[in-house]
Amino acid sequence: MTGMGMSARRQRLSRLWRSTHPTARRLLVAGAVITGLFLVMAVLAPLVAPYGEAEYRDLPQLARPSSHYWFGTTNLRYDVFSRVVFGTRLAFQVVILSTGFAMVIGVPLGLFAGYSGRRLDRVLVLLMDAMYAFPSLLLAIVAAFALSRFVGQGVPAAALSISVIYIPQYFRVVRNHTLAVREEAFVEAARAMGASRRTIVGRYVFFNVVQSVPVIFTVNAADAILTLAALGFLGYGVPIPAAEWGYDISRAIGDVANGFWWTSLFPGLFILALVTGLTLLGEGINDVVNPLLRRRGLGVGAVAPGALVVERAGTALESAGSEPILVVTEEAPVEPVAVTPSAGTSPGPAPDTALLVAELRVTYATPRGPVVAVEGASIEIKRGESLGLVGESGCGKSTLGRGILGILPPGATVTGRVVIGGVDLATLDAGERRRARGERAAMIFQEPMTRLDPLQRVEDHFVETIRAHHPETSRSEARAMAATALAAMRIPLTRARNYPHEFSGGMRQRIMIALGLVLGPAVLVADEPTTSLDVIVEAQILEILDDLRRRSDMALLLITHNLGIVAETCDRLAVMYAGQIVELGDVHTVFARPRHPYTQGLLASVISLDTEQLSSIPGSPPDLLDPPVGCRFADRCPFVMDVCWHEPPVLAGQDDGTQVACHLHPGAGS
Amino acid sequence: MATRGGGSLRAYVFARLLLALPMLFILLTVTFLLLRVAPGDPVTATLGGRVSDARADQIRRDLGLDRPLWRQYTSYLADVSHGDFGRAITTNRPLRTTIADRFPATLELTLAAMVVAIGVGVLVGALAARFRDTPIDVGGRLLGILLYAAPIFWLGIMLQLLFSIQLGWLPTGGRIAPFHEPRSITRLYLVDSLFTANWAAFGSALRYLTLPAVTLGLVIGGIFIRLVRVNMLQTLKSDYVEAARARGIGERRVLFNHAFRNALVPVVTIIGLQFALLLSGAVLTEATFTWPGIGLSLYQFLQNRDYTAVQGLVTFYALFVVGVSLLIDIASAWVDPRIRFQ
Amino acid sequence: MTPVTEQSTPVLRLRGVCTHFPVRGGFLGSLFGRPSAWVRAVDGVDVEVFPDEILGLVGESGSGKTTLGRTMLRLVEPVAGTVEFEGRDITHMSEPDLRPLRRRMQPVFQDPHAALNPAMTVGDAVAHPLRIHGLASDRADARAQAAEMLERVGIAPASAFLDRYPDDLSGGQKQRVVIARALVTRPRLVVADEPVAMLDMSVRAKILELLLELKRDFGLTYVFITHDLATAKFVCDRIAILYLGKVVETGPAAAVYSAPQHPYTRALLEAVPSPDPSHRNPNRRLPSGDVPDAADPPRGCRFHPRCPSAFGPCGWEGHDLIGALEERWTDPETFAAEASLVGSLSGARHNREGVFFPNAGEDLAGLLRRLQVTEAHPVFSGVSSIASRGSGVDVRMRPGSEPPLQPIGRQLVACHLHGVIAAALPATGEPPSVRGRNAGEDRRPPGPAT
Repeated sequence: MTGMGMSARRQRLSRLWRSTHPTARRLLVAGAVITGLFLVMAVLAPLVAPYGEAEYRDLPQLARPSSHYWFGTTNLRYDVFSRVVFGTRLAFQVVILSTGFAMVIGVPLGLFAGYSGRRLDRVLVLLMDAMYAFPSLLLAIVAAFALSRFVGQGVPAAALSISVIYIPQYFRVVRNHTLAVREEAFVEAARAMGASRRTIVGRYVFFNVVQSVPVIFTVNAADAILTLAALGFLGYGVPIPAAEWGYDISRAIGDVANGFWWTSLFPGLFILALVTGLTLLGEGINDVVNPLLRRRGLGVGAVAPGALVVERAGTALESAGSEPILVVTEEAPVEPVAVTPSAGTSPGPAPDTALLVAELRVTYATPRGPVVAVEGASIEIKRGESLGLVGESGCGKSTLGRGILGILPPGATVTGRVVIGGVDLATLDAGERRRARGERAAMIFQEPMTRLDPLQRVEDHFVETIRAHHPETSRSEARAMAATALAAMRIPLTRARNYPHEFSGGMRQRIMIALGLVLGPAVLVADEPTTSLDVIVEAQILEILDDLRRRSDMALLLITHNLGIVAETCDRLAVMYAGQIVELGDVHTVFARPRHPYTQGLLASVISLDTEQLSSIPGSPPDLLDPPVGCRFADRCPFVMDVCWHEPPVLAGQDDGTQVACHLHPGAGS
Repeated sequence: MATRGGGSLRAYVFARLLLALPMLFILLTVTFLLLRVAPGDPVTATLGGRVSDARADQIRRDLGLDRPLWRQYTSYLADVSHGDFGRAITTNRPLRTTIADRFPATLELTLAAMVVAIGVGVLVGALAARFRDTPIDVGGRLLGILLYAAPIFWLGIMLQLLFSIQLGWLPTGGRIAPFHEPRSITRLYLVDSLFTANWAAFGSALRYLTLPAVTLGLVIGGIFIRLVRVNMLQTLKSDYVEAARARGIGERRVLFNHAFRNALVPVVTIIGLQFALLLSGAVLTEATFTWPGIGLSLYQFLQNRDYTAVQGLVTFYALFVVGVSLLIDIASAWVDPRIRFQ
Repeated sequence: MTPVTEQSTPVLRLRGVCTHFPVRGGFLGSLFGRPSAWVRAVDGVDVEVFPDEILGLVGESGSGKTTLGRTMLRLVEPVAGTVEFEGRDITHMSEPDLRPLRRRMQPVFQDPHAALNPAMTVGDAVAHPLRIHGLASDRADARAQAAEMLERVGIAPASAFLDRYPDDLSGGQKQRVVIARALVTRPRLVVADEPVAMLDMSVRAKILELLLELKRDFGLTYVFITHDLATAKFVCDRIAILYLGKVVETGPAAAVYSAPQHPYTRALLEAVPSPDPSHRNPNRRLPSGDVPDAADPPRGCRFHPRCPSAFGPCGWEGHDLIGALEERWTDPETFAAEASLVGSLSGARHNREGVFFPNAGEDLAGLLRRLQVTEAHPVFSGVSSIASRGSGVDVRMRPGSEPPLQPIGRQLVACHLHGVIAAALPATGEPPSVRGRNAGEDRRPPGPAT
């Protein structure tokens, strides 16, 4: 491995660490410290313990804890402290042996079964599932029972009988992980490359699967300690004179009735502490490693705080370039966030304005510092009008949409003004703000497949929404309203009581639209509503939205990266780049005469049926953790001037009504 | 997408039953093999030099342990299918009677513990998820870990120390005060005393049940706390929850109806998985509190190294586990309509 | 675009290829490994790829285009038909025999984030194919060749990237590495499945330009799989339009785009949004509904339930009639008026030959007959009889047939609108020209012409 390679690895690890949530970091450290202390004690047992493991000569019986005998002595005159210390050593011996053995058997079996599949896999799965279903302690007891006749009791027997429990666990986890990895594109690429099966399993599958093993290892180790203690308690662990914690506790039961508490308390405390340390360590590792795995859809199931990217169902919502632009603790529940009015208010909106956004600024608090995702955005949509908000990934358009509705993750602060249908949201209390969502403004999202509660019938979604806003509505009234809304979307009324998974993607999106509109909001925010749909269904949905807009005079904010659909259906358009709106105007005007160099580049790069020549914009968007001081497009702009590097341009009105933020177009009256 | 009608629950149950058979078969075989393949014979191993050779031979014949291994295996399977779990070497009683006698006690303990576990686990787990990254969350997680990390028997002993020895509020062991047993209907003391309005029995049974049930329940509850928390975090960030919020559905309703309910779906399955853990834990709890259930019998037979008894009881456990996991799977399918399609 | 000589031996030839996937159903399935249904992802496809051309496989989700691509590379085995690569039959070749051939056909996948092994450095990833096929003398040589290829695809300076992991790269960079890895063995054929779909628009052009440039420099042949008609038009020489596992239209790109013959192709083209606001098309007729389930495709012509020009012989079945009635009843007034008949709808038993409505009487039969006469819904042109039978109403559908690919103009088209004109018109059912949108074109007799 070259020097470059080592530092690359170290860089990755440090980046992984830095982007882990502080709580997870603390867990990991705490677990590591505790486990480390115990490990040291185990290794140095003879030095740490004042007496021998089974030393009883000249010691008093059942002496209280004192400076001579820190944890007191037992009925058999053993020094409890020494016993406990040697117990640590024994615990580590047995546990390392057993989990090691289980891993050596379980992991390859899981890999093999997961990758090759078919008959042997099915047999193994049945076998392992049966063993996994069985009460693990009983399995260990049975194994210990049987083994005691073979090899007698001792460390190896105890370790072996415990390992029987964990083989199925390793098998399962590794197999599931292998199954997931097997479907990955890079594994298929390896097959297409002509790699042999051995190479694929070894270099492609194994290294990725093995990342989940350390977590399972620590979790199993923790469990193994408990199992060993239980076996010892039942008399099937490592026999005397070995200092086994569980065994010692079983001997101490008689003491308790007579009020001698120290013979049972301390061994148990040590078990508690070590298992806690190992578990914390395991959870900590999981939290650190998991985001990396989960981003590729390979995670081990547990949730990890502090994902690196604002994720929705595993696909990046806002990220671009090699450094994800937005670093958000997306795992936190998305909660309604109040809009704080900024200083300096502009005059109220005209009466036919459905949506007015003034100087909206959204800041995310991330482990690496604050990120301003949306910077001073102002848009205005009249009744019955549609505005297309376009930009590429990471520009902040989705955040803007969510900011208007007020559904951003906690840790996001929103300042600015949002006025819907003449009502300034900042003047509303929490309850009114909640009702505003749905009654004044509604939102539809990108992936219709996951936006409906799978446990709730479609009709009930409507009933719930209606009654959440108008609790006096009866169920039957609400059902009637649902029927009307569904009919308007051409959803067969015979299917109103079906579950969401019984509908196709296009129909689900129509249901979402109907749900959004059932309360008659003035504004509909559509965040990439057709991106995951086929082009014909997309056209159908856009027609529906257009139709609705005209019939009910609704304002539509269409957020998309697809300039084609904006050209087809929108009246006006706003172009966003790196969190800022750079151009805003009538759709015909902007398409015919784009002024901002980014808009020009973007329009030129669109591939349509009439494209004769390809064009692209060199470079990539800036990192919003540390945005440039001047114009954010300066480093990619073909017309860049000196002033662009120092001074950020502001939106300025042009003679045809378009607004542009560019030093090339200072606008009328500057 | 084709509408595959309403998934038939009946079809699912049937298929699930079919799947249970191979699993049962494997468990029984594994149990049998593990206890038989060791060298020497069970009778000598158990009774050692305590009986004369002639008596030992007699016992061997009685229990059919002198036949070839495969014969023993087939008759073992046949016996089990009739509910005959063999006899104990040490007591010579049929295990069927032991099980019948003691099963209600274990059932009462496990049910009560499950109630405690679910109560603690779901409550603390849901709170931790709701107040994520606050001290409530960290405290909840730590509590979950500490409860899981405490050995059941040790926790039981500590609780005994505090509540029985120090404070004297609760008894250290047993199931009910002597001569207080209610009339047998279900043989679950709490239920029976309620049915017969025997308040003294009810009170006594409750007092004796408290410590064992709380001990077992807390440890299992610790696991539930973490599972419920993780599941709820998942559902809280799910797309349909965000969409529901965007429709102005109130936070409480979003939490309960959407996040919580969906989070519980895997929990139902998890309860099934944890049931096995519950049974293991019950053995330890019964040993600690001398609770007269099957676990205590198993403990005693283990101490005496009574092979056939251990085999018989473990066989029973296997059947029980398979049966319960079957019920849980059916319950899951009933709760989540998507499962029936798979 | 360089003209394609159709006389030369095709690099790839597929005949009647069917690739089906089992749907593992329920527990019985997992017990005995017997699937409950088959997803017929590719269901009878004939396609040829000629040297030095770019063939586009265009379709929506469920069209089978990705599966077809994987079948071409023999990453899956077809259940029927033949696949010939450079003249050799690779349909059922074993993996060890296929491996040496694989250096001559390589994929470029859609998701750059998933296509690279996260556990391998960029240099190792690109060099690996060389080591597998023994195209490098030693490690250093492989590394050098990899570096050269990386620079060729625009990852420069290569030395800065060789030891980095994929996680450190942007989407566009990753896709370049994927391309480098695919080309490092100098293959003949590259199957690119949506190579730019997951990249930003401002980056797409660069990658497409790169692909075209590399094709010229290395003399490659491409199969370009995409749902984006606009990109396909720009890049491809010939196009095959796929729907539900079958090719419905194929021909030179220029011809297909300027004079599409199949109603599905026309629908796709009309649905593509054009970034020119002055060219809005408010009067297009979009097909209804969604792509059906590939496990149970419609009878006859697969597009008929959605086709705006469908008519008699297209293969109507019972379930289409149910769908038509359901759609009719999305209108609340009609629903209220005919609600009493809905009951018979939910109990209806339907199959490919027709529908039986139990507990229905003359009122339903009467409605159906009226609809047959007045209704614009094409399904009624496929009804052969409506009769009250016992306690219910029985409706029989006329058998339809699957249209074969026929030469129309410069394309091959699978559509009855073109085929049936030549044959005798059916006894019932109106002539297609009344329903066809571009009536004038449909009246043209088939044969060589524009």
